[in-house]
Amino acid sequence: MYMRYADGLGKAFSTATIYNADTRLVKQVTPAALCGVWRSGGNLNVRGWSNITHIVIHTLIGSAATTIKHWNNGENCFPPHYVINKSGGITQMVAEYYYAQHAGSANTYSIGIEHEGGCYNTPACFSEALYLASTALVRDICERRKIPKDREHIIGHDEVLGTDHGDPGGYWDWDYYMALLQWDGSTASQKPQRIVLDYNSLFTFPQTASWKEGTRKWMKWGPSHEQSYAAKYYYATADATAKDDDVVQYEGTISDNGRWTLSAWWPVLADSNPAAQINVFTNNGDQAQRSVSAVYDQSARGLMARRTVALPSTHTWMAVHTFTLNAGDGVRIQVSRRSSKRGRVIADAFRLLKT
Amino acid sequence: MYIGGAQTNSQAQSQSTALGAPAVSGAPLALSADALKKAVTLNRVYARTIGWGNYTGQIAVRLGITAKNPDIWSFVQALANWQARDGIVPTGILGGEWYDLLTRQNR
Repeated sequence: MYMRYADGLGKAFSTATIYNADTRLVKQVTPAALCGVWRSGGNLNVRGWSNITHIVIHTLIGSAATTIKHWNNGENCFPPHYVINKSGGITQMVAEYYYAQHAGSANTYSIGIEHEGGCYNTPACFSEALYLASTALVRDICERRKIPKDREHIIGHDEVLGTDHGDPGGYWDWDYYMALLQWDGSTASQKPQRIVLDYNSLFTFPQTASWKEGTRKWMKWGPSHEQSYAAKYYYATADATAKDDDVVQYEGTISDNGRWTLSAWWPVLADSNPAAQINVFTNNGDQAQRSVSAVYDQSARGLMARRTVALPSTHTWMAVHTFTLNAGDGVRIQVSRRSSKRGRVIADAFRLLKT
Repeated sequence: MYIGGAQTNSQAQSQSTALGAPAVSGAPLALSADALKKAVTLNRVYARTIGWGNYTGQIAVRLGITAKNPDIWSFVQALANWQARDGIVPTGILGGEWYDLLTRQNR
């Protein structure tokens, strides 16, 4: 397949198709043509190519199709350059040569990409197809425009100076996204891979009756440090005399040889435990890769959240340990109820990421 | 504790109709969202109390699940389909019939 740009460039592109919102509109974008109304200001002013130094990642609250339809009808018509839906379909709204009004102070120097949403309340919204299409597009833009593929230049809307928008939020997996972006897009053996183990995984089990199910707190913008990754998680009252098997256990199978980084996510709540023990075991042949244990302060929001321009605490993954593993290796993670400190221990989500 | 187990086809049909799912033998059925949630929660308990938790991987294979890191929602759905085929109330909750599922031929 080929993706076509409004400026006439063409390039082989294997993982996604680009659709123009309207061929006529994109080719001769004028505010009146795009939105049905004239907008003064930054929208659709011509700029020089050399001015494009950043890419801004957005997420939509609604579906891509509905939002594009609204824009074409002139409603709240501030489209970015591209919109990507859950299936990985890319729609170009504005030629890169023009400004788009997508990110306030960053409009003059950035290209904006919206991602299908409805997903402030679930990470599942960001599909594999969406990540692959988005990174393929951004990789291409970066190479054409000589933009470095790093977090200084690929930023979230929530990181733009002066913004009050919280997207793409903590469920957007920046680690996975940047790893995919660094990848060449074609060598299968080097493709980054991600395994998330949480309440929804088949091999996640509380091993005793001590563990109860918790439900994710409602959020408007999110997730903040208080939100769990999965809609449900397990928690238990800490006990200094709890037995070895008084754990929530997660089991995963490694899908490829390589360096796998294990990260953790839990909601930071007022009564969380300041000394929660996590044990990780693998059945890798190398003794050095077999196990690791660590104690974490689950009440510390600093471990689990970062400040963005828009929001004081946006949830993020916390790296636990990096293993060198082989395809087929088993990984067993245990969150223990045994703790010398008071407060409830939480077992929510773990991510294994091969970069 | 024993849940589910062998029941007659007429029982299966009347109860699965109450779940809003077709009781046609062999046809895939869709559990309601509430039934799915209930099944996930109870399976986690029964895996421990009834004891099939150590065989979850083998049971998943018998149900035709091939993913390396499957999710429990597809497990529950596959289980309900198997229960419907076998004339058991298709709850998606695995009780005493787990041993049957694991050991009997032609599943």
